[in-house]
This record gives sequence, structure tokens and C-alpha cells, in this order.
Amino acid sequence: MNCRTAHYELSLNLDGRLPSGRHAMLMEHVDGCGPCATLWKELQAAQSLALRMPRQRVSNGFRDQLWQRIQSGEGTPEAVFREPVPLVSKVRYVLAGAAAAAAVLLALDALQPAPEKSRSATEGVLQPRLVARGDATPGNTQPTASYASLAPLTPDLLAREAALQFRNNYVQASSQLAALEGRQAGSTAQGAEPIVRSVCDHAVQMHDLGSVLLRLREDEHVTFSNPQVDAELRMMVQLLDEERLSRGDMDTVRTVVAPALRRVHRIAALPEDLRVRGIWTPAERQQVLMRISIDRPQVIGRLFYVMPGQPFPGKDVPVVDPQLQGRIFVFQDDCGTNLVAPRSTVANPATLLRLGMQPAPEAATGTADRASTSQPPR
Amino acid sequence: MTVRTVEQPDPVTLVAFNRALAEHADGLKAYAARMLGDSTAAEDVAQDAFLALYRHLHQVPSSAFRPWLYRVARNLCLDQLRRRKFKLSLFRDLQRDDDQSFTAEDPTAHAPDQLAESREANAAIESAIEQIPPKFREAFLLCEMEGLSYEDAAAVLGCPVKTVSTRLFRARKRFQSLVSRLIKV
Repeated sequence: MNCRTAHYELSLNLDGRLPSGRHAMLMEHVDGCGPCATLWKELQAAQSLALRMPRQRVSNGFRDQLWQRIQSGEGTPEAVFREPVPLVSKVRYVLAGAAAAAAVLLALDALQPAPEKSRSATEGVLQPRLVARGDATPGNTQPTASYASLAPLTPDLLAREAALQFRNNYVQASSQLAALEGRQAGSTAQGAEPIVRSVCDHAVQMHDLGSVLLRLREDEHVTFSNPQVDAELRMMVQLLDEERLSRGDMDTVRTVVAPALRRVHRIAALPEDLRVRGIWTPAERQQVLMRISIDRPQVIGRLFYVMPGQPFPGKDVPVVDPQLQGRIFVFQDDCGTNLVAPRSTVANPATLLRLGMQPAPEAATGTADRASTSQPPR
Repeated sequence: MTVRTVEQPDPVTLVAFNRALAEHADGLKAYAARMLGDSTAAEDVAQDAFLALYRHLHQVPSSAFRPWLYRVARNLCLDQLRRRKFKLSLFRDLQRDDDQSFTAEDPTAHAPDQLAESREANAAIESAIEQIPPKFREAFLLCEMEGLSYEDAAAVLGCPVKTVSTRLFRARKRFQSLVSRLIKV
């Protein structure tokens, strides 16, 4: 053990946070090292000085005044939830905003019909490289984009998509639950089984997506601007536990899903309240995505249309629908290079079939139509 | 600030709230006072934090009351400091707070010269805490002065536990070097 490590561990030792073996090693080092022994004594003495400081006490009327405020119905001061934004984050936001603005301008520029001769000047530089495939006949050229020009999938994108899909599932489950309750009230419970199954499916998806978002939040990759959303998300993930949902019957809906949905008020604002980090190094990006794909392999498929492996040996991807440009991302995993498209951004999943991507069954996913039209319940 | 109807929490939660009030009110005020350098404003911050907790009792598990309260107090303090356009300078007005001074006398010191010595020592300690860089000082105030666990302090500061332990170590080293003249090893 060197002195540098010992100094740090002395601080841990002051709080009793060293395992016994490590503690013994540290004390052995301290016994044989003069400077460390002195520091250890000084740290202990400094701690006792700090702890000897007189305590401030609240005034005698503190409790009474507090209860008066509570009884008067006074609400929470707004500043309670106003989290400080570090300067670094502010700079990041500005940079990310500038980058987004530049991307929008470039995208608008790319959508303008350009004269043939000017196209060659820009292709392959700032937008997906558009080239004619070898087997195409004149007049039937198919635009393609090189892998290198496609943007990588980022945890931010994944988090945003997860928040959108979470809300979609919440909206669907809420409206189906209302329909179910309407049926019960009207004694027309017949045929309720598919709705019950669907509500449970949505609940399972909320649990999965919520777990991913909470993990990203725990690791400080994302934050929620409203702590109530954070608290509600945690509560939903806890209540909609996979094991509790496993039966998937009316009882499950009544005792697990319905109470969970009734206890939340702000969760529909999840996508708006999500704050993403914005800037990633390739290594961090890859590490986070790989961990998610290993921990919850089903989630990637629920969030994205996926074309696994590198399907085009010629290294160019046919962009069959101009609207897909900028909506296909590259994701590397153990199986190699995958192409993914966020489900909420693809208006027409049929076009993806020509790319080889597999749109999942409607019942299990939220598609662009739902994402764009579904509104939180009021 | 909004006005809302009063909802009564269930009795078990209410008991937990009252216990939190009894156990953490003083600590919360002390923390806020060191953040703001103003013990009157600190009491308001502590009260606002408890008011916020009461309004969110149904969302906060009782085991998380303490870090939740400190986080809220921290937000309120930083908001006040921002609004006052202060730099995060702790204890600025502390010497003038003679209603309930931090630098209160050592109860064991009775003779005038002992009292003076004790007051001087306490002022030196407060001044030493003030000189710890803000980032490290927050960890010091929470863990060393208020006795929060590393995990709770991490929740309050919104950083990993490892970061808390590193900041605390640096704060302690700085504090130790600043009060070395008071230490008799």
C-alpha cells in the first residue's frame, strides 16, 4: 500500500467504511509509516473538532408555524424543484443547440432539389452519400447511404424513444382500462379477455422501458426536470413488477395495473421532462448501449426497427424512402453492425420491409402513428 | 407558490413525518445556515423543506425522508444564493447572527478567558470550513457535520457515491491543514 492510497483510505476509515481486511492492512501501513500515522491522528483530531461545534436549533415556534402553513393549504415553493444547472451543462446545451440548428439547416438544404453538377460537390461530406447502385438501370437508380455516413445510435436517442414509447403504452393502457371499467359497469364483461391481455402487455412494456430509463438516470446519463415524474416513474416500475404481472388476468389488472395507473398524474409528461446528456464519446456510447442490450435485450427491439448484421456487403444502404433519411442509425453489438430506426419516427413501416428491417407486430409496439397522435389522458 | 386543499396522510406516514421533524429539523437548519450564512433564512429553508415533504408524503418513502429533505434544502439555498447574486460564500453574516450563533460558547468553559478562547476556536473552525472549496465543502457539511451516509449525500448532491467519498477526503485534508494550529496531537 502506498501513502497516497493510505491517505484516501484513512478518510474512509474515519467513517468505518473499510472492510476488516483492508482496515488491518491500512493500520499495518500506518504503524510503519510516520507521515501517515501523523495524518491519521490529525484527521481524527480535526473530525472531533468539527463534531464539537455547537448545533443550531430551530426556534420554539418552528413546529407550530409549520403546521399552520400546512393547515392553511400553502403549496410547495417552486424553488424546491429548481435544480441548479452546472455551467458545463449550460455550455453543452448551447453546443448541442447549435449543432441541432446546423443539422436542421443542412437537412433543409439537402431536401432542396439541387442541380446535377452541384450535387457532386456536397455528396459524401455532410449528408448520406447518394450513389447509384451497380445493378440499377438508368432511370431506375436507387439512392444509397454509406454506413460511414449514417449517424450512430446514442443512449440519448434510446432514452428519448423509451420515454415516447413509455407514454404510448401508458396512454393505451389507460384508455383500455377505462373501456374495461365501462364494460364492467354495463355488465358486458364478455369479450374483455383481449383487452385484459393488452393492458397487461402495455404494463409489462412500461416496466421494461421504465427500468431502462431509471438505470440511465441512476448512471446520470439522463435526468428528469420534474422530480414528480421521476418519483412516479420509480413507483410504476416498482408496482408493475414482472412477477406480479405474470398471470396477465383480470385480477392482475384490478389489483396491480389499475392502482398503479391511478396513482400517477405527471407521468404523461415524461418525454418533455426528460433531459439528455447530449455529448458522448464513442466508447461511453457503446458501453451504455451494450449494457442495455445485454440487460434487457427485448427493449432494443421494442424501441427500434432493427436490421441485424451488415446486410449490404457493398457497404451501401439503399434509402428507399427519402423520409427515412436521417432516421436510420448504426448500432454495433456482438453480432456486428445493425441498422436501427426509432419506431416513433417511421411513419410507414412498410418501407422498412424493403430494407430488410422487421416491423414488429402492432400489438406489442407503439408505432409512429400512435406516437404522433396519442395524447396524454386528461 | 400555490394554495391547495389539505390532504391528510395516513397515520403511519404522519408518525414518520413527525419523527423526521423531530430528528432532522435542527440539522437541516444548521446545513442551510452554513450554506446561506444567515440563520433566519436557514430556518425558513428548513420549514419550506418540511412543507414540501408534507405535500409529497405519498411519493417519498419514509426511508428516503432525510436525503429528500436535504436535497430540497440544497435547492432552496442555491436558489436563494442565485437570487441574491451571492457567490457561494458561507458564513458571511455569521458573526452578526447573535441570536443563535454557531460560535456559541463551549458549555464546559465558564471563566471569561475560557469563554473567549472557546469562541475564538469556534470562529476559527467556522472560518476553516468556509475556506474549503464549495464542491468539497458540500460533501463535508453533509457527511461530516450532518452525519449523512455517503449514499444519502450522493442522492442529495446528485453524484456517484465514489465522488462523495473523494470530495469528502479532499475536504477533510483541507480542513485538517486549516485547523492544524488548533490540533494538539
